[in-house]
Amino acid sequence: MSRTRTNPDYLNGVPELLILHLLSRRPMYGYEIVRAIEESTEQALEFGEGCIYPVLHRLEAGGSLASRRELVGGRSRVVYRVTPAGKKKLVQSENHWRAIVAAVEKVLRGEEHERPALA
Amino acid sequence: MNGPLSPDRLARELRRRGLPAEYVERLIEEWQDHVDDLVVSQEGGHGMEAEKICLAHHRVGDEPTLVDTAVKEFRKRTFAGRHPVLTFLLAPIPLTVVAWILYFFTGYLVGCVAVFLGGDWFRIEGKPFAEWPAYVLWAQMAFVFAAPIVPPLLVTMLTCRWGSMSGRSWLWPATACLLFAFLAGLFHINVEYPYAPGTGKLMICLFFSKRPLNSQLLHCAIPLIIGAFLLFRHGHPRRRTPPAASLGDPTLARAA
Repeated sequence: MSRTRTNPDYLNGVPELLILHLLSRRPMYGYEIVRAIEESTEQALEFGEGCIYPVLHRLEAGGSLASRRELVGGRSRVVYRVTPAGKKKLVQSENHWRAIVAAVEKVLRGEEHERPALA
Repeated sequence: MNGPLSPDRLARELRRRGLPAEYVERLIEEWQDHVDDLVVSQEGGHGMEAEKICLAHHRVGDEPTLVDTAVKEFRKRTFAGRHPVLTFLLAPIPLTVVAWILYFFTGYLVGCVAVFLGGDWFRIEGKPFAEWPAYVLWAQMAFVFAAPIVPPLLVTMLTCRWGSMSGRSWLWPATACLLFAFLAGLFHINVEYPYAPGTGKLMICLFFSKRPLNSQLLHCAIPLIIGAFLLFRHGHPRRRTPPAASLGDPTLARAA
């Protein structure tokens, strides 16, 4: 079964937001994160599974995540967890995302803005 | 469906695109873990082992996409990675000038502190150089000798470090080293020690001579040599772990 993969420009930043949000609930390793995104979005959003690791590493380098190799289910995996700086970034990103979604929704719903009265 | 991912091929391509060896190793390891998880998740299902591994590789992604994403994300980490033109082409000249300013300012500060703490042991103001303590004279001469060498050397090392962390091709920091070498070659310093109070002179300039002095050629060569050494070391790191034959089942890869 072939999967359709799309990556429109307006989804830039979405993987980071989803990753931070999911990891704020509990620490996970890469495979778990991919599965969690698939399940949470009911497969509406799909990411190239291997592509999540460079994003995780970038977030870690930026201080939003920390990682450690741990035994999970009898196998060694690199588990990621969000840092206090990551939680701060998550709050900012969520607020920013909600503001953008609300603004775009207004336009798509076709609400007219009032024209200023002319003197 | 994609063929099996080859860690050697992936690693070679990622290194060729400028990613550090340590990071490439980590990435390959985690991709391998992911493939293992995908294979295990298919246990109990229909299909042969080879098919399960192929499907796992397909879901991880094709090599060009993985490499492009890894390179793109790595470059986003640092300023040098995001803005190579600014870092390696435009910044070297002002950076070197700033390095020289800091060098001479540091020398001046050290002199002031020495006089403050040591008093007459280091005081040379108003004295002809024949009356200077020998250690002060030697320190001054060493400071002047190092002026065309140390600042360009430091900015060369700094820029090569940025280059190794940027995920960009080695050509970027190499170009910066050429600019440092050019400036170091232009740098000229001349000191006339005072034979009487108020007769000393210090001249610092950048000038282009049709017949450069041997010393200027040497100053030019040092950033080039150091830059070449650092970039070579970045491009040929010591291998820590032996490469695996393939991501997934190594026996299948050997059979292939």
